Amino acid sequence: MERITWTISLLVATCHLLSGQCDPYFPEPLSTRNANYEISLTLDHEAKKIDAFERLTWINDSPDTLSEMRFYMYLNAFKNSESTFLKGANTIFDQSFSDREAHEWGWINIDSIGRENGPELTSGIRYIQPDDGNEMDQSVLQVPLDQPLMPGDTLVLKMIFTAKMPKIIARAGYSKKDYFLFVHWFPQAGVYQVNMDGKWGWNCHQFHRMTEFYADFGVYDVEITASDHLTIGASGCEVKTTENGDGTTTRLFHVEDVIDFAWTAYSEFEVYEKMWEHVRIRLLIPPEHNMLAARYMEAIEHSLSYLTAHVGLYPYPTITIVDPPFHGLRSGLMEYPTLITVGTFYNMPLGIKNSEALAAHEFAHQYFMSMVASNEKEEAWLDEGFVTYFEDRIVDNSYEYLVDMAGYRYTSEQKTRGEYTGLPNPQVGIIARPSWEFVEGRKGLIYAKTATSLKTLENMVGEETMDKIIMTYFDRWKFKHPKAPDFFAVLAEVSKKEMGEEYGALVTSVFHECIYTTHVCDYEVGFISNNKAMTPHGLFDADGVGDDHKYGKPKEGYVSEVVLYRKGEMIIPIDVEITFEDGSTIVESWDGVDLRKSFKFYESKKIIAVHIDPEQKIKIDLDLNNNSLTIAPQKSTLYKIAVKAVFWIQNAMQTVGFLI
Amino acid sequence: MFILYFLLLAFQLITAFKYGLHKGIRHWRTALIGYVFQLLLAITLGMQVYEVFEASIGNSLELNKLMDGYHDSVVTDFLNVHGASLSPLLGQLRYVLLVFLIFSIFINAGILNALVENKPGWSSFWEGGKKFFFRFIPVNLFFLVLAVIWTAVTLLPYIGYMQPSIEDFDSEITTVYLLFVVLCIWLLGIIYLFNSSVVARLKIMSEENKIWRAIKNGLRISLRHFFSLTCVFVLFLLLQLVLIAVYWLVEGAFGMVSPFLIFVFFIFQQIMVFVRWIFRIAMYGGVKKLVC
Repeated sequence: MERITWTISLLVATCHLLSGQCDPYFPEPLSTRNANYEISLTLDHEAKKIDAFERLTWINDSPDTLSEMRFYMYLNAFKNSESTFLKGANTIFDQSFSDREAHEWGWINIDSIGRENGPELTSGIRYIQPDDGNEMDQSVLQVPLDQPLMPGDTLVLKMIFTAKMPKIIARAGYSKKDYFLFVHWFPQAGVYQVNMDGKWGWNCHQFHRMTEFYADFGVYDVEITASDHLTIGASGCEVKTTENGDGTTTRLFHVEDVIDFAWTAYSEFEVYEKMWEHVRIRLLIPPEHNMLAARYMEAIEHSLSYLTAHVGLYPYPTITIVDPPFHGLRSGLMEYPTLITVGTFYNMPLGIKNSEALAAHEFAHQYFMSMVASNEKEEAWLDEGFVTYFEDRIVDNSYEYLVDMAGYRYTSEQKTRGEYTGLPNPQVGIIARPSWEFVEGRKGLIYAKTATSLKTLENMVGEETMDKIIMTYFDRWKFKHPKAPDFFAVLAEVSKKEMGEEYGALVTSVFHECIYTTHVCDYEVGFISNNKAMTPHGLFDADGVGDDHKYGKPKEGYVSEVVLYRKGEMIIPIDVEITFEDGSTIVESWDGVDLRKSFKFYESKKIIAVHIDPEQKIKIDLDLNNNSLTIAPQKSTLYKIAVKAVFWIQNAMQTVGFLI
Repeated sequence: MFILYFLLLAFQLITAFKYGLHKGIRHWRTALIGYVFQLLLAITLGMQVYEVFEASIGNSLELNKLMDGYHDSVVTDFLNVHGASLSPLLGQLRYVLLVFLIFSIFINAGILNALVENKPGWSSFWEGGKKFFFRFIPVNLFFLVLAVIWTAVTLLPYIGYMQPSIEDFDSEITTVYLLFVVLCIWLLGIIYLFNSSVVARLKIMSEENKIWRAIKNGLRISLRHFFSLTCVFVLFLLLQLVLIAVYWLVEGAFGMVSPFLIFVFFIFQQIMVFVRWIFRIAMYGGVKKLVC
């Protein structure tokens, strides 16, 4: 009997694969599944509104007895200008929202809520503001329970809610021709966990402008009824489709072991599908962007194969890529479980791989954010930094260059490093802090500095060990909520095991310094001197005291000196390569501690060049140009630069001369 | 009838083009004068660029990476640390372009005089520059102001509308095509003003027109010959764009990756710039052929 069942399952699975369908059911749960949702909704695309019924099954896996539940009500961020999300901002993504019509704002409201087969709780609900006390903010809802929820107990809540989508300000909302992106669109339970202070409590922050999302793992069954003219895409797999005969269709989507559910609808979407091993890649793209379809597909395939090899298995049967129309671009460039939004522009040139990089970035979030579900609000570097690091690796490995046009080319890694080193003040703050505390430098620090630090770490320990660190971290923390100390524990453990106690401790401490301090790294070659060696000179004792006077005379060889400076606070042991005039080189080790370090040589040949960190492992160094010095300027290159400058100045003059 | 008109126009254009090219080549000495003057101005800035790079990263081994082409880390680190040292140079570039704009009145007067008198060489150039420089200033200023107004009228509303247009249209394709259309309209206006300016100056030279009358004649005649003049302009403009594209392709294929190739490309670049001067004279010649 077992064999027959197994054979039937295999056949069903094979059929699914062959037909491009996806099977969303895992044989065993991958996560704790303590927040499970069954939602049934009807979309009124003209009123931009949904009416929905939600059944939440929530397990109290804490040791505490709970008297309340907390819910994210993030659509209320777009209810008025006084929400914490919008307050103080004149524009979001360069868009003013002061002259919005009433129907362009968005909101969510629970019409009724109560225990299943139990009392109504609606009268007790109220909005709270745990972060900033802004009473106008309605992004977090408190639902007092009629009776305490004991540890291990299951709470089943039923609610009826209405959500009005805003004209897109950021992420969620609608745009022209019935384009919708439904994210943070339903009452979603916050996380009850051990917080940063080491105590159990609710982790259910208000919706701040610079923050994203954080929720528990669970199973989602979402039944969407919408007009037939809309193409629907959603997290997970469509497991049931019912044509209602009234111009609407009801689709049931099912997805397991995820922390959120997102979906989209648009009248113009073209749909492309492709299988990569067990994963169905589904692309929803407007017609004007369809020349990018193959490029998106390829980017996701590259990402899947790269991340599978270097991080771990992607267990889900599907990934949906949503390329929004340009008028809905503010909903793009985001990550949700098994659904990502990207973004591009009509006829994006082949030499510019930004769209592919975005796809790789958002897909990598399936690993860091979705599966390794760190807190995007409190420790955004744990997902954005890691994802940027892998985006660079994927793009540079797959395409070599992020941009390669007319002789102008750079890698993704170079772009990322430039975003950090190009910050007006790279010491503006530490990375490890909640996103809403960033006033400036958020992207340069959270994304770019973290990724550049990880690249430096990789260069210090080698790609193989780095992959072991990441794979161990992924394997240990997938389908859980790790915090920064959890990553550092893995880093210390694996690096010590692979590289030895001392070096493991060193790399852990260097990475710690990158994340928890504002220290910068900048080593510089100060100068090189080559002085002719001289015979002894001065007064020497022969018969009496100092009666033998000798003049110095040049002798064979040189007394050479190399002076190095540490200009930043960060201390990293580095190699120093010294090149002599006969082409021979020696490599000295410097612990990098002293502010000034000198190496002296008594050789028959001059030093002609010095290079700190010749392999450029320390990408976090703010200025790589001052890491090397030669005694002779690089004339040829200087001539080249000057010659080019002259040519383009002449051309500019010629063009200006035409105006008159 | 239409075919006859088309053939006649094509014949006119070919004649004007050939005439222009012939004049451009024949007046190579005039082109050389403009070219040398321009080169001297450009070299003053080029030398400063050399010095800025030499003083900042001239002794860094990283500089070698620029020999093989653009290197992002070298350039971004240079700009992060020494970017401020380029600001005065950019400021100077603005002034150099302004100075060249003023000198262009003289140079263009010289070129047009050499063309009208059909005397290639230094003396005719110098005489023309000297004689017409001050008379051409108001003409040039008038057309420059018109060009600024035209630019403001055509481009500014679009630039202002660009962001909202993304919201208004169903796809960005409309915005892109609209940009293309607006640019074409703007360019047509600029070409018309350019041609009018050349014709006005030719009228001053050849028919001793007063300034205001010359301007009116320029605008009127250019409008009458709008299509043919525009075609000649676009033809020579395209030739110049082709030149730049050829340069880009050749440099992309071979690169300035050794001292020898730097020298070869320097010569190549200067030939390109010189040829652009020839085309400039050829364009004036073509306009003269069509309207005088």
